[in-house]
Amino acid sequence: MEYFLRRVIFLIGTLWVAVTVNFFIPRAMPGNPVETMMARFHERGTMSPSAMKAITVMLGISHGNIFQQYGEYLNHVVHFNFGVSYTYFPYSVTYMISHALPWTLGLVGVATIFSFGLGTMFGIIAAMRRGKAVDGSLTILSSFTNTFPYFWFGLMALYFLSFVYHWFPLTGAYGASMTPNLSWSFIGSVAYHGFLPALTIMISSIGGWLLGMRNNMINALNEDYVLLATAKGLKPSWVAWMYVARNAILPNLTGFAMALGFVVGGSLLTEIVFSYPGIGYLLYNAVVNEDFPLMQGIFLIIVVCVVLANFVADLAYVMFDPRVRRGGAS
Amino acid sequence: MSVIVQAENVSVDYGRKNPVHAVRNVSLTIEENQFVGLVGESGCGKSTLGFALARLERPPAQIISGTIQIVGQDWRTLAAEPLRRARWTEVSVVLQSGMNALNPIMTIGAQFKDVMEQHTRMSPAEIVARAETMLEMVQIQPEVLGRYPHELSGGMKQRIAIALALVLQPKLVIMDEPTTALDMVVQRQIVENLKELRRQQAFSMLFISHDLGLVLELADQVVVMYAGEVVERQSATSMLDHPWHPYTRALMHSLPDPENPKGSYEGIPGTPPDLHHIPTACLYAPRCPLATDVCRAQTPPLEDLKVVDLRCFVTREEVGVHVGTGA
Ligand SMILES: Nc1ncnc2c1ncn2[C@@H]1O[C@H](COP(=O)(O)OP(=O)(O)OP(=O)(O)O)[C@@H](O)[C@H]1O
Ligand SMILES: [Mg+2]
Repeated sequence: MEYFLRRVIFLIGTLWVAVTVNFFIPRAMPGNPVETMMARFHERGTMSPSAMKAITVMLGISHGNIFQQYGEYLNHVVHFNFGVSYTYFPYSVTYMISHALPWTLGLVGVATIFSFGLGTMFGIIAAMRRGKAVDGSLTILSSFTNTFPYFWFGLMALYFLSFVYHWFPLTGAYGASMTPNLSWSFIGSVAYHGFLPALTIMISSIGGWLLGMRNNMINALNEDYVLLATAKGLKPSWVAWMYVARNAILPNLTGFAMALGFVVGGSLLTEIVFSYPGIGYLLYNAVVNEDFPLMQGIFLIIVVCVVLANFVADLAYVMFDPRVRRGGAS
Repeated sequence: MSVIVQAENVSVDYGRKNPVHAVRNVSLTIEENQFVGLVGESGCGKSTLGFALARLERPPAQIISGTIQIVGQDWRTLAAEPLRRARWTEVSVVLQSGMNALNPIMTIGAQFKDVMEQHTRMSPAEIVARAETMLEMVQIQPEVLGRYPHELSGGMKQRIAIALALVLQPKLVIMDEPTTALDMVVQRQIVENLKELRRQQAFSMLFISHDLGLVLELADQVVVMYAGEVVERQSATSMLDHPWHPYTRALMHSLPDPENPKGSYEGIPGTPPDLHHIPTACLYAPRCPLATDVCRAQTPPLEDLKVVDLRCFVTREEVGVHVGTGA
């Protein structure tokens, strides 16, 4: 319990630091957001000073001193209010993020979970058959895909499978003529559009999980308790799972929770290549258009996800490893 | 008395290219309820032999010849599944203390349960009752069944390992240095536990140790190994009176003197030979105070001299005199 409390305090502390850094960085950057915004409106035609004033007020740009601004900012953050996007005016940052987030979570989250599950499973198989043909081919294949530039794989897949052969769509998360709903045809369209991006993410990450798990398994196989389990005449599948794999997976759980934390921010290139309307694609557009409020909001979401994932990783370790569970924190 | 283990000419190598001939032509018989002690310096092949008998050798170790008959089955040629079923019901092992022989993520109870579940038809209640009885035999509270290994002391873990080894009432228990990493007080407790267990349950034991004193105390018969070979074998009581092989004598001398327990523990001068290439000579000759030219030129055989099995050109004559005079 004390351990849990310490973790929660640590979590809150980290979040505060992240939020604060997120406040100061844009202010340390050259340029004035309002001017950027105005410049953008000017491109579309001249504006009267009164209109400019109205926009300034509407964008919520305050003129108090830095402390007042900071207080206001904190107040906005806890209400998930990050202001108005310059690029997608008049939509708010929160609106834009909340419409992009589900796509990223769905695509990258599912791909990451599958990749971890399959990689771990094949890692176990490779380790239990070590030295055999299965192990050799899995290991070589993984080492290869692991060093692969995955956006390149994405581009190749997109070019051949979508552009040349038209087997898969070129852009988007669902058919352009559809509106999101819960019908089978819409879900089918989402799966069809998500297949190549998900495959790209999985191919680039599955090898890492496989090699990591295989390595941990082989270390665990040399443990004395595995020798004793063999001596006990336990069924090989029981030994492989209860004695070897369950011990070998512990170090990987932390990595998995961390990977889930990077789901939101970690798929930038894939989303750009496939024009997938997720957070990564949104961030790309925000950067290209110098949309500071949107960038700020997205950075905050990414950081919060990573910090939360760290927290979950710690808890997962406590759940699965009795040594941490009862011995308190180490 | 029926024979539990009958191993003939067992040889074990480490590696294929330029192998270490760690165990060579060892024959060993263990009878029902007999405690056999296996002693020798570090590196003489005790563990290698013990693990090979239980078919627990791990690469690069490889049994290259011999037969291992255990309760009528040849464990060397037994297929994987019958071997698995024979394990722990016929032969169990206790690993060296200090090794982590218990799975860190399973409770002690679960580690008793899985082996009983997979080898017997006991009900869950019977399994718990049996585990509690076993712990009681080594003086450990039954609550410990719900604990994890890291919550227990080294001595407790080792007593649990012994209780676990006896849970299916095996014919033979192989113990590889079960007390070595423990302090003297705990070591004493475990030795007393073992003597007590012997009164409560019938089993044979192969007790592996580098401590001749401990082996003489516990074992009925003592096998002395040097550089991968048996050099002497006789009953513990007669060995106490007449250690024949010069190496056994040296081991005896290096024991702490009961009159002067603080006296220095003397090692045997010299080092054991390299086991990559086995010379034609007595392997102990370079370190032996009694060595003659014959010892350096021929390999002494292990001879059955009635009172002792001995591998020595020099002291075999003494045995002859000893037996002849009937002393
Ligand atoms: N994995 C290995 N590879 C190569 N040689 C090995 C290996 N393990 C052991 N040996 C060699 O085999 C010989 C016997 O080793 P073993 O562990 O059986 O000795 P031991 O009598 O049990 O010694 P100790 O008292 O130190 O446990 C030693 O000379 C050692 O160098
Ligand atoms: Mg040993």
